[in-house]
Amino acid sequence: MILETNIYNKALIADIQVKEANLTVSDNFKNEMAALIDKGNKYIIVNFEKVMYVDSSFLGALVSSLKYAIANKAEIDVAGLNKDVAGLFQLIRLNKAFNIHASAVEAAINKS
Amino acid sequence: MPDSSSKKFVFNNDADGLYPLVLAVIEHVRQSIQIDESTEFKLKMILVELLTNSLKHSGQDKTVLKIGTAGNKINIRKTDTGNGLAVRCGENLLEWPLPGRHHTDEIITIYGDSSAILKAKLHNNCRLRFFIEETEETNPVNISSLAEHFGLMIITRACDTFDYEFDIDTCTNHFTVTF
Repeated sequence: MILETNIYNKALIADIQVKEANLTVSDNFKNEMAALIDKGNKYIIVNFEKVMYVDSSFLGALVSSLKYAIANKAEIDVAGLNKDVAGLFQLIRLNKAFNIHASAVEAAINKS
Repeated sequence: MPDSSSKKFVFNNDADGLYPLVLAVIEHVRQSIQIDESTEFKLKMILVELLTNSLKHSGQDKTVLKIGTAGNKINIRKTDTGNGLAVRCGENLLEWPLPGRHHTDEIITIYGDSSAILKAKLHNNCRLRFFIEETEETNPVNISSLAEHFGLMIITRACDTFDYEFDIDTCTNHFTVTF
């Protein structure tokens, strides 16, 4: 499993369990996110706290998950990005597509 | 760019070896020239994507990176003997080397979304230069139009020039990045 989940207030926090969020895990990540959305979760916070770096394949899977979430009237925010990951979101303008929070708990509190 | 320092690194196209190699290259560059935080960030992103591209597409067991530094400039040349670049342009799949010889200055669209379009200017049937055409941003972002492919976009955004060349004589792919 790439994701470990827990509920905090009205949010589902999905902690990414790998340090290297790359093409070797992107398909599994996408499938696990789809399963969480299919279960009816309406607000998912993807927590990158443990992630050292992400590659384009993983970002593609994240965007694909966001599209699937919107189609199912759900929301995805991201949290816990390190400096490089945050810089990458900015570089390819994904900071305009996702709400970015300093921490998953902060995101969950702000939502409630 | 005249090389004041140049070093070759070999990537065995295994995912586990990717990040350690990225860090090794960064360390080499740090020892060769002074780089600031922003340059180090860009270097890291470019290396991750060049090597990820090899993992995904080269179909070979070895990729060679040649890292050159001169002044405050960095030059990265990635070489492999795998499949040539393939790009889907609408209905058409373009595969390098392109058939025919008359492609000079032709512009092709590779992919894009509501904020930017990745394009390439062809030099001939074997060589091209990537560039980005920014589009007027919509607010809020149109999520359904977002691209799901970012590799070439990341590299192009992070560098000054990004070129691809297919060497017909040796059937070799060369990706060259300068910044």
